Amino acid sequence: MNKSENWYSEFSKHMILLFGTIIVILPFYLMLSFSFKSPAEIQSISGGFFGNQALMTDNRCLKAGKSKEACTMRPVIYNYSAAFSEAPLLRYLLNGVIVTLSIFFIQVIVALPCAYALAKLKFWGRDVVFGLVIFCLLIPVHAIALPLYLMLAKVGLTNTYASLVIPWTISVFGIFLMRQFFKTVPDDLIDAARMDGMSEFSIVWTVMLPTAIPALLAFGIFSVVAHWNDYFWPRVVITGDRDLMTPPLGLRMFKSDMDGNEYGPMMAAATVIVAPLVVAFLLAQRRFIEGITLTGMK
Amino acid sequence: MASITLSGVTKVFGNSRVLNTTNLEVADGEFLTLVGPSGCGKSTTLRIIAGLENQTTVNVMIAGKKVNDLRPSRRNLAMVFQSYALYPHLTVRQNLEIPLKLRDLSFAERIPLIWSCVPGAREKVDKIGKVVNEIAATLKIEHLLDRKPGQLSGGQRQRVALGRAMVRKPAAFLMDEPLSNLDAGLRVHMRAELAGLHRSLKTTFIYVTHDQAEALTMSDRMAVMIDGDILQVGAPNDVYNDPKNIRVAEFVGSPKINILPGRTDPSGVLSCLNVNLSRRLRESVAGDVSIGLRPEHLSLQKKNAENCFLGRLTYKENLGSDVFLYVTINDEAHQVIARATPFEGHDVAIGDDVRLYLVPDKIIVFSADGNRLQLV
Repeated sequence: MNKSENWYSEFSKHMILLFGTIIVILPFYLMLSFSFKSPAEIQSISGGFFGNQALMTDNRCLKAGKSKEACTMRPVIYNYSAAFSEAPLLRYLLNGVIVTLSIFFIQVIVALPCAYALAKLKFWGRDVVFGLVIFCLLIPVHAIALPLYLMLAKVGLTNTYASLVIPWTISVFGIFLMRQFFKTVPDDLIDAARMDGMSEFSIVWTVMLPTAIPALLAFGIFSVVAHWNDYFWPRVVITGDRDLMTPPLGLRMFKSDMDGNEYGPMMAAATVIVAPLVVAFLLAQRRFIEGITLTGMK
Repeated sequence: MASITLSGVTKVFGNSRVLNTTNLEVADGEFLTLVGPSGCGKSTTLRIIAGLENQTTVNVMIAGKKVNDLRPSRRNLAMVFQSYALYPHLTVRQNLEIPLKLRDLSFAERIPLIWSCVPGAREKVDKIGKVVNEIAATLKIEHLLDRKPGQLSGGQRQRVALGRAMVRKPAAFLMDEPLSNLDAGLRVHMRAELAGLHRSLKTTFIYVTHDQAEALTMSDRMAVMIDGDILQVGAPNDVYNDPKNIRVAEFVGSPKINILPGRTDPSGVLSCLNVNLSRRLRESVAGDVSIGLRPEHLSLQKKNAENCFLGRLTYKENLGSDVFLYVTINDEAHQVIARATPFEGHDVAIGDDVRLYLVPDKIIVFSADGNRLQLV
């Protein structure tokens, strides 16, 4: 291949990637931009990315009987302070943390021993069980949502943290992922642990767990992202109690509370909700990619 | 220290039988090598002794006690693995401590922070630390104690793996090809070191290898295993010079023994190709036999003499101290390997016609089914 052809193929590759990037980034760009601008700028689509940040006065604040000085501020400050004051955003964030971490924690407790058994122990019917795990990967959540809801309702668990956590505690994806990783751990290591006098359970927790950290991190990111962003399931089981709402659900409630088209505060709330995930990804970026390619340890 | 006895052990995986009825006795303090080509069942035998694999039938005894149903850790054995199998997330010191901690400390004494509250735990932990330091000093790995296995070279990992086996002062050491991941030079060095270790520890060693050089150099006795059968057990010299089976003869020795077709006439006198060997079998069996000749029992001969093969040199393998000559004989129907001194090897060139003298005293005769036949 000569140089100009090479240039051409590189160029077209990058153009396609760039196009894809724009499509992915655009909603984020709008979200971030709207969270900075005043309502007028949002309506008229002016002010660029950051808006003019001209002082504005909040009418609802004036109606509440406060002084004009207290109600006049920059749009960015207005948007973010409204996001936190109009809805219990911190409570939603806390709920999100409690729910996603409990889900991940229990998923690990279930998935590691299962994966170990499927990868390293020989027992009758192992392949059938693994086949069932693969089969379960094919079942969409929405298909079993109704029976799940009915079961939780019958035992009176709707509108509790338990109803948000329990359905997700057994992750077949986690079992599958960890099983594939455990397959790459040499048998000798396990035999050595047995010779040293470890029980099978302590092999899982003291030998397999530390070697599986990269895979576990990858799984952790999948799990946390999926359940932090989940709107469907919390919408099904949290029917009344606003104190139990997770961030995406809270965002929805938050919108209906606002009078008119208060996009600024809403986008500020959305930014706050997305931020932890973005920060977590940036911090764990290398581990994340390592985990996906599963080349972490050998 | 303990003797180990396997009696009538068999192992079947699914439909295939990997281990035929195996009997083996290892004396207290002995260095026994299980040697054989890959897939012959030697590792399985070792794993059955260790308790990592269940034997399909009958008995394993350690120090006169039946251990069939005992868990691996209760058998008081230590194993060194080919891949070393060090815990990658622990430092060398922690790797060495683990077997002792699991054996000597109770569950509560192993929990971080809690252990220091348990009465007597500190003394136990101190004692473990002392043992680890002693072992590290013996193996000269003190300076590595704070590193992780990933930061060590192959030879260093090997030592740590040995150390982890030694800390428990086990009844016997089981070693599964521990040297095969090392480079050639280090392997030879470690051979001497392991033999020395065995002398100083005076513990039973069972050593599995596919490398017959390791078996010949280190062991008190070696057991040759082929296709799930132990074909011969004996001192390395006996196995080399007096193989009981053609497969043993072919496996032990490098280069491989030369096997040539031979015949016995009705009076029991042997001939090999067209050379009359003027030797007789103890029990005369007329018919075809196989004649084994070690390369060192064939030598270059300048003059025509009795007991000589005529052949053509096709290849010379110069190892410095020896030269191995590959010679085709009998109209190129057979190839034999002969050992020559560097001087002799220098005199001949590839393509030359050469004459090989065979020492009739040294021939080893096998029947058509591969069993050894004794000569008069």
